[in-house]
Amino acid sequence: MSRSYDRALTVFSPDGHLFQVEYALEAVRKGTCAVGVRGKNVVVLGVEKKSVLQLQDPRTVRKVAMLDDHVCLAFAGLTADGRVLIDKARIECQSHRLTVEDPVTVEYITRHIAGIQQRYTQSGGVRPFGISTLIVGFDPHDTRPRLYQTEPGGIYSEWKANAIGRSSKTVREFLEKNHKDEMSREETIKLTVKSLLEVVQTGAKNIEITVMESYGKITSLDLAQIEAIVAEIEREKEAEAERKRSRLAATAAGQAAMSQAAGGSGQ
Amino acid sequence: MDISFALTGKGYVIVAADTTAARSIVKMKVDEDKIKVLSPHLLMAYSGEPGDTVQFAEYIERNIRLYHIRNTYALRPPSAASWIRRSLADSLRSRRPYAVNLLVGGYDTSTHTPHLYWIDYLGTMSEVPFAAHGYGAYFALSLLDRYHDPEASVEEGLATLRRCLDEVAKRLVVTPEKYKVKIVDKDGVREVEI
Amino acid sequence: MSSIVNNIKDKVTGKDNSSKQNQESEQTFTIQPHPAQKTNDPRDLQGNNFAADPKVGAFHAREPYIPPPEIKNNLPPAQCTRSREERTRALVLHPSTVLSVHHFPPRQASRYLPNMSIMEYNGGSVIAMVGKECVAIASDLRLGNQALGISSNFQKIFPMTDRIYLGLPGLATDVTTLKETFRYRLNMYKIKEEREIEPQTFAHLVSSTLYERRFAPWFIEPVMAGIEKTPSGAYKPFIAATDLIGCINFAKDFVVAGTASTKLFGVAEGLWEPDLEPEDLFETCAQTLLNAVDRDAYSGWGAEVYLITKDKVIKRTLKGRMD
Repeated sequence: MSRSYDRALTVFSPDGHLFQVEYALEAVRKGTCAVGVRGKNVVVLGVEKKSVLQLQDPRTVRKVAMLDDHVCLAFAGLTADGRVLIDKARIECQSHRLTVEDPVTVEYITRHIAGIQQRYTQSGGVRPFGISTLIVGFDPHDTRPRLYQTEPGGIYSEWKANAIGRSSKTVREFLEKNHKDEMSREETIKLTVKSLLEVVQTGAKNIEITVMESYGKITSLDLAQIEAIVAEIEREKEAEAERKRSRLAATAAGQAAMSQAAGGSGQ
Repeated sequence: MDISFALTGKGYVIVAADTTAARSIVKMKVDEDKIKVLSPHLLMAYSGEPGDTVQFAEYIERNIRLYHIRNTYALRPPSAASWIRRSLADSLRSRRPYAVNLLVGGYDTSTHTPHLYWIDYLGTMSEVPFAAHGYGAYFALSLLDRYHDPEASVEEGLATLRRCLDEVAKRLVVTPEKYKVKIVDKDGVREVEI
Repeated sequence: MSSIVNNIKDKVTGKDNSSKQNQESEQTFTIQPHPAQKTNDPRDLQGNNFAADPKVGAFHAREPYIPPPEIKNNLPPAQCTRSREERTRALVLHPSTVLSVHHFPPRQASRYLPNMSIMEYNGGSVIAMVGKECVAIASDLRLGNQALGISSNFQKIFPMTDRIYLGLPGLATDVTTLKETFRYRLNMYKIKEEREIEPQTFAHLVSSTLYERRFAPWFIEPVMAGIEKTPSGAYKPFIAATDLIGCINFAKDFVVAGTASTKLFGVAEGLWEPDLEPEDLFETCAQTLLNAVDRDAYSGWGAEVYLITKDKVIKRTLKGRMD
């Protein structure tokens, strides 16, 4: 009996769930991970790239899209749904400029995207978008970086740092532990890479980083730059591990010495 | 009453348009920019029915920009001009057509050639070495027939444009006092004082 | 003289005043011979002019002269290329020819505008001719805004397939739009049918495309030329033209359209002859167009000619008068 509640999208289950929307969230959880981190004057998007097949052109598999001069979007979930939603958002960005002369604010376009996602949970004959998005950018005439998240149900919220997609819970917990306010550009990028490395085993070649520093100033880090950062993080971890080891060794030696001294005195 | 000129040279297109916005016999504004930068290497001077002009130009601007964002590269001048022409031609047979005349100048970065298109409100389009719209056309076209050189440097091109502006200033009853001049070449778009 | 006599007569007979008035206003004439002639009969005209000869006089008009069969059937064949070339050369205006200048009174703008024809707004003309296993199609290159010339490089002839060419004289915006429409429809035809369109079929495609807009037409009068393959494998020249709503005219000799169409008819009528070899057809077509558009203010500014034979197409761009 309960099976019939997930047939039609617009029907609630008796305990108030929309199953299709929850399945969409499941699709998001299966998608590759995306991370957004806000610094003092910068906001960074990091995504886990799926391994590109040997004969595939990596340029055609992109998970970070530019919506307008000053807004970028990363998504996790069904790539095809993402493409459609991105196109709708891009049209809205230009349409907004055409009708009211001004560029969109980051919150406006987030609300618009969330609005579209919500619409697909309430009308017949459609299914929800199987994606969550992270939207970053700068509002016109403003220096503060912005980071928003939207979900398949149409919820949207602003964040200091957040992750979506596969193992997003782990990454979010990592960010909660390590995020500081007023981070510099380098710190922000490093934290993004570090948090991604929590779930990306293969390292630099499967990470894509997009940095936005002010209105319209967007850069994508190339592989060499990301590799350098990853190497630095590895070194730090190594040093940390070394320190731990030597501390451990010191403790062990101390304990041994103590026990020896005790043994000696006992003799 | 709007006047616009454009001419090609060696690796560039110069586009010039007057800066007056008039209503009836009254000048309402003397620093109106009637040349839109559609993409990094594309310019469009527009003139015609006030209201239609800005409305249409902005519609074109936003769509060219949307294409750029969607595809990561901008439309090349011939394709952009073709699309703009079709917009006007479709508009001509609609319930209320746009009355806008255009000069579309661009630099094709893949073939390294300048392109200039003369387009009128009917959707008539022709690729030309030089062009003009408005009353200026009656004075400037014959002058350009004589002095235009497709191999001219930017300085020579500007000197030829100067001749056209001077002739209009000398002979036209209602002559505009200021022009905005923009150049597009391999380095993109820049504005020059004349 | 007679009025005085009448007056006296009236007084004698005692007629009233009103009738006298009537009498006075009425004039009478007698038919007098011309002072130089004795009578009014044309046959009595002096001198040995034709009219005096009853056999040729206008009063004795006869049926047109029809040559007897032995003369009619023994006429020499069409004149050879050389003499025709000489004739065409004679038609070309010599640069030193003095053209007379006419001054017309200025026309009021309000009177001018209603006279504007959309078909003549941009100017331009096209002609197509049939030869022996070949066809030629030619157009001018002018694009104008009424009397103001805009471009001397505006193409009006477009290849539709390898051996069908379409000329589109008329409103320039529709030239471009229709060119694009036909490109689209032919691509669709080729994909669906997996073959090139035949000229006959293409003519009907043109016709239906134009008739689709019967009540808001494209302002174009297309002219097409091509070579068709007969079932026996031979090649047959094909030309056709339609009006702006798609009424087809399949011609056997030549078709014309555009602002210089009247002049093109005249020159083509004089120069064209059946079964011209490719190079002769080119010369005939080119000269016809060049000389016709020189008499038309809205056409000219250079020309281009496509010569289509069964194994190749030759395009030649011609210089023309630039005035």
